[in-house]
Amino acid sequence: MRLSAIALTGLLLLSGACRAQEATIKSISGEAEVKAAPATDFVAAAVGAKLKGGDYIMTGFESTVVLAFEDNSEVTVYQLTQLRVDEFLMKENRAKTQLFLRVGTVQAKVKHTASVRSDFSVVTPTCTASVRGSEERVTYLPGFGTTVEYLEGLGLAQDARGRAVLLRANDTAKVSQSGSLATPGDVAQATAITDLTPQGAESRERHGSLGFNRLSIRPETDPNNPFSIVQQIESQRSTSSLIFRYDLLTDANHTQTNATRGQ
Amino acid sequence: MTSGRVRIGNAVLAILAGLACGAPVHAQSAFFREVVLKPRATQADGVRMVSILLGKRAGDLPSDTEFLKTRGVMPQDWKPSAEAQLSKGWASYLLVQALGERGGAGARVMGWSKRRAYQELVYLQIMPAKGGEHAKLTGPEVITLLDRSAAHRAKRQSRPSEQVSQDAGGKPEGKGK
Repeated sequence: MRLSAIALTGLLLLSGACRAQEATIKSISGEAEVKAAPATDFVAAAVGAKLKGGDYIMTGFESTVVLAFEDNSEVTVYQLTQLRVDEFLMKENRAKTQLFLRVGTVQAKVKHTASVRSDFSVVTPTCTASVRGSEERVTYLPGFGTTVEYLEGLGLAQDARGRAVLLRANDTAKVSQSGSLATPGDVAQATAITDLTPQGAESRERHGSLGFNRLSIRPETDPNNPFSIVQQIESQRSTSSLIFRYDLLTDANHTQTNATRGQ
Repeated sequence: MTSGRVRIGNAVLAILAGLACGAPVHAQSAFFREVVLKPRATQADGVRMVSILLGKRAGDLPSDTEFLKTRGVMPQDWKPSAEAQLSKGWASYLLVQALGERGGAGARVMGWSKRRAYQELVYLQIMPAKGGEHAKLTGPEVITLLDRSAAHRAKRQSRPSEQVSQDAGGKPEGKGK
């Protein structure tokens, strides 16, 4: 009896600390359908309907849907798009949202506030695009691959091979259908490029926190979460006095190593 | 016996409730839902895709075929099949006609062929460049074609002066065919 009470309390605490959120359909223009997670059939979408983890939303030709998330993020789903809400969790002051874009175009506007930190990412079959306190547009069209455009703020685009590119406002990254990042012209616009492969991570550990030749990723940083790397860059710039270097891809084959001193 | 009747009654009620709650799906959405899962698209998918682009939101293969033939998009002797796989050249031919593309010198002198239509759409970045006009399209690629074709049409309509100059015989800048 006592054990059951303890277990129940634990579950309640756990559910309070990490609870699944819902997204609401804010507006619909044209035709849209949703599929709730356990169901197998799509039904017509309606304004005010809630989407939770595992649910699909699909838009028709010349149709648009706007989704509002509880962390104040807003996602516009453009025509001919199939999107799945993979994960939407609120843990303490951190909102983690992951959307899977099967086909089509979405534009995410993520509002970062002091009280809620948003980890927002859009995953396509060839790319993961992370966004924080900014606006991005992600398009995945089979045959052409993924295009990630940052309209505002800062974010990362990571290809299927583990390479990532840090993007700022008006930067564009393309990931081909085969899963390789970027045409040279697009990478040249980007601020930095890093290697998130396991080999890269080992190299950084060997070099320690001084004298690394890639973007610094501490051992505790999760390579599967590009968002944490953006955080890392920012925190190093603001708190460290160490010189750190990053590689800027200048064309298809050459990298230029740059150095910057933290404040 | 009684519990069996109760179970059947519950099942009927559940079906009726499901029918009452689930709003009807849209006709064109059913096409997108199915085609996105197909590893190989069919000619019927291509016909449906081009019909949607031209504003016919619902229809079956015979009515879509008739629609495209009436509009002059599909040659009268074509007999699209629901079983035949959709090639890039076959879809390209319908799309250049539907979009009203004039093409380069070859197309203007000799008319459109599947090969020329495919090359034109690759140039316009509507068709993925991998493969040739005989390569088969996947279901998701059909959605890509529709999305890119609609975007191309919208872009062209927003720049009417360029279209006028092309219609008058001008060649788009950078046309390297």
